[in-house]
Amino acid sequence: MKQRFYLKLIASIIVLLLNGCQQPKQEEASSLNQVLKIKELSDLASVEFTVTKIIKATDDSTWYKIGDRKILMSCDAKIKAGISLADLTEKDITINGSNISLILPPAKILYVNIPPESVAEQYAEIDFLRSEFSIAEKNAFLQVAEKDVNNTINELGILTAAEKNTKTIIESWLNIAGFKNININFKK
Amino acid sequence: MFFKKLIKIIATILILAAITYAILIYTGILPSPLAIFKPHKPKVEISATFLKEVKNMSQLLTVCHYDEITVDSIENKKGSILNIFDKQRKLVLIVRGKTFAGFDLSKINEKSLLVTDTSVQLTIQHPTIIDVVVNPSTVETFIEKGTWSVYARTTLLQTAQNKLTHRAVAAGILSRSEKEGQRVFTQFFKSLGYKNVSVLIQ
Repeated sequence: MKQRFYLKLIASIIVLLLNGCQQPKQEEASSLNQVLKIKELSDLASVEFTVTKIIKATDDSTWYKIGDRKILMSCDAKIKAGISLADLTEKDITINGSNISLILPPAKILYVNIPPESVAEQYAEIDFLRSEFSIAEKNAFLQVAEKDVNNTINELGILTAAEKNTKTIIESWLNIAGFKNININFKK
Repeated sequence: MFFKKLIKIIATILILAAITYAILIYTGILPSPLAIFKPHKPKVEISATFLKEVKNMSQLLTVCHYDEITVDSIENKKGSILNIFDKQRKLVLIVRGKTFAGFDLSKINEKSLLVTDTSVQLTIQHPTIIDVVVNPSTVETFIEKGTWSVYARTTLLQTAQNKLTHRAVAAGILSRSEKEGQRVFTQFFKSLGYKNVSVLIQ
């Protein structure tokens, strides 16, 4: 009788160890319920910066896993910047004969584009006892790179370049339109 | 008698060992038996940003079409005794993308912009699809069976871009873009003081 009790107890502990020590799965909130739509824009894109990112991922922080599992990837991100012409109002324009003064809206980032063809796997080392990196994992690494690009955009000076080029574009149009003295500034 | 005592000793040792193991798992010193086989979150390091190219442009973006599609790639594995139960390699991605349409304004010159005292006539080319943006943050791996390369991901996402373009065109993105272009330029030149503004799209 006691033997059976001990055996049952041991079996129960083993089952608990196998099943109970797992971390609960966190269900990611689905973002599929976004409204699909067409949005109208009035954005004048004046500059595009292409930047490169190198992504290094290593999976060797767990001491009980034997063998290396590492990957080196690269991707390009194209950042487009310009101004929104919709924010330009009549109040921002002063005309006096052939003289014109414009106060344009400040430059902004229009969008960041990571073209799929720019993503490359540069190097991977997967030991015999380890599994290959999945597409989901590689995509997660690229998401980190994308976030990093978004966080470092302002350090690139793209907005200054966008304002400079926008000024050149608008000046050329106004020159053709016959204005002689053109003064363009940007809102702060 | 001896046998009973031996079983008791073994059982006590096993229980103590199990409790110790459970405590070690709970404190994180030892991994749980299933965690050993589970993939661990790798450490990711991102390099500094290298500026590769600066391109000056003159584009008017007038419409953005948001859409969500699924793309898949399915391959049947060749007959192997190991693949009896799992004969397919499958990759299904859910892709949310943005399709931008607009005008290339780099060719605006004295011939395309005719100005008189109170009127202006601008001639521009038809709008085109400027970019189809499919970023990693908008790609979700729904099913992944088998091993797939980055090249396979690229091919599948390019298919997604083509699909998004076709759907945007079918939704009338180019005609909307044309109308928006006319509206934006008319408004721009009217605010410069021109009473008659005509925008021709060729």
